[in-house]
Amino acid sequence: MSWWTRVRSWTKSTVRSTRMERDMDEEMRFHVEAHATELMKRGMTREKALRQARLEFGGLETAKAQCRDAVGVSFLETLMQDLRHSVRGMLRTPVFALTAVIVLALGIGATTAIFSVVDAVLLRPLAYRDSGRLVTILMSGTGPVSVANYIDWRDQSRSFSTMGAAVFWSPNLTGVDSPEHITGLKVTQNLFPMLGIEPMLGRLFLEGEDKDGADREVILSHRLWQRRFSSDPAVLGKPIVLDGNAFVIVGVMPPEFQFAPFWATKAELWVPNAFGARIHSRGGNSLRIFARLKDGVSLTQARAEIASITARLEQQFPGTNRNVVVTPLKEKVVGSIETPLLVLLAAVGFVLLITCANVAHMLLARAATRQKEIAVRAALGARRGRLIRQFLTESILLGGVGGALGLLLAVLGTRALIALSPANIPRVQTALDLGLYLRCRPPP
Amino acid sequence: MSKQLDLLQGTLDMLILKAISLSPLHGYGILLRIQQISNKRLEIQQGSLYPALYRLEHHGWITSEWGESENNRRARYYRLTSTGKRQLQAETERWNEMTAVIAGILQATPEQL
Repeated sequence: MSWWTRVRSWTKSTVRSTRMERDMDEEMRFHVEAHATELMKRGMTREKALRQARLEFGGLETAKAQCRDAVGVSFLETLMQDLRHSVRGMLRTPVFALTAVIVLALGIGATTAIFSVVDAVLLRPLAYRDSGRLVTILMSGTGPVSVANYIDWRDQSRSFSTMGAAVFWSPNLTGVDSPEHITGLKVTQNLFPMLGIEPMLGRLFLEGEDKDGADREVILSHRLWQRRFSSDPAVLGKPIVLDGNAFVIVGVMPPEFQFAPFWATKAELWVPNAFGARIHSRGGNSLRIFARLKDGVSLTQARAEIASITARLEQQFPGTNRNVVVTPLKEKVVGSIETPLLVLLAAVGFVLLITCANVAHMLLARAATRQKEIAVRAALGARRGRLIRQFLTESILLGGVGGALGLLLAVLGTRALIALSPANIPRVQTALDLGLYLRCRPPP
Repeated sequence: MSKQLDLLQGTLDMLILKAISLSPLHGYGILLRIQQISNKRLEIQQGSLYPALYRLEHHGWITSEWGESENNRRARYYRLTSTGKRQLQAETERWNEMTAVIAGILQATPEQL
């Protein structure tokens, strides 16, 4: 019998089980009456004929039960039966049921909440293309860099396919209904292509647009576009005034785009960075350097190269190239929070284990008190598999209710964790994304 | 009319398939058809007919639909499906083979050995 026939028969018997009962009844009654009519033709009275027909047919209910067996009691029907039985059992022992559900919910809730945070902060890759190859180059690992140094590093190094820079810029947006102070970044033209990000609307900066006099374009964040331009798709090409200069809107970034990831995290617009006269400046450190490792180049190799370049420059310009550190971008973003978070995750992992052990013990104790019931059911003909199935259904019911409640607690707990987390925990805001529970998209 | 024979175990399904392969029938009709062809020499438990019908339908060998009976009552008519047709053929062949073999054994004489 093909699985299709099986499924059809199942659904038929489940969805239409009332209809099957009606059909069976009518069909067998028809049989008996047809036979009685036959008998009456041979001269029996109607009453006698009916009795005779029924007698010859045999047990009506037995036949019906055999019919039901032939079609097979459906999976769903058994499940419903077991669930009903389980619910009744739980209601009879509410203290047990409540305790088990609460213990499960707390364990699952705590673990899920912490995992949500760990996942958002540590596990998910940065939302840039091949983000594992991205590094930052900073003074002492934290401080900004001068323009001339950036240009020398960029031009002299061989370890990086691209090296870009960004500088904090917080202009006044005027010329619209209400002026506003906006956080933004000036970036070199090569930076966005290096991140592998496509704009949602319009374009990225073109080559040459970070040259002096050509740097009058602006790319908006999705949020700013929504907030100040009411998500107007015709915003491209429109002028806006930043710090008294007119800029042209050339692009809008996708909603999930964030740059920079570890500082100026709330940047809402980006403009090209023309270095102007500062091109020769080794003071006035302001640039954060972002670079992508060339294929086949290891972090160690890149570090060695930067070390030799900066040592040379340091000799040439003493005091300008000391202690330059190449750090993977992910490490820079996640930084010191990694170990404490992992410890916390391990801790709640153990909490979940303890939860499971607790509930298992409770179930075991309960099973011991139910031996009589089990014996009766076995004596009434319940087979081993059937009994196991009943107990599994009960456990699944407990687990399901506990899990559902736990998920609720997890959402609340994650919110609380986000609210309580210090401002310097990166990316924690994204912990509530539903994607976290059902993540199946490939990393960007 | 000689004494009625008890139905051999497992043969009811085959008889039902054969009966409705001739024309669609309702349950009672199947009973009558088998009795008619066998000259009432087979004893069929009437109640056992229906579990067999449900089983065959569950296997997908027959299908049923409600129709009008000869005396204008609603009755459920069974019809052979194409897989049922194949099944009937297979069972018939197996039956023929089986009876031939058994008959051969029963007719064996000492000289043959």
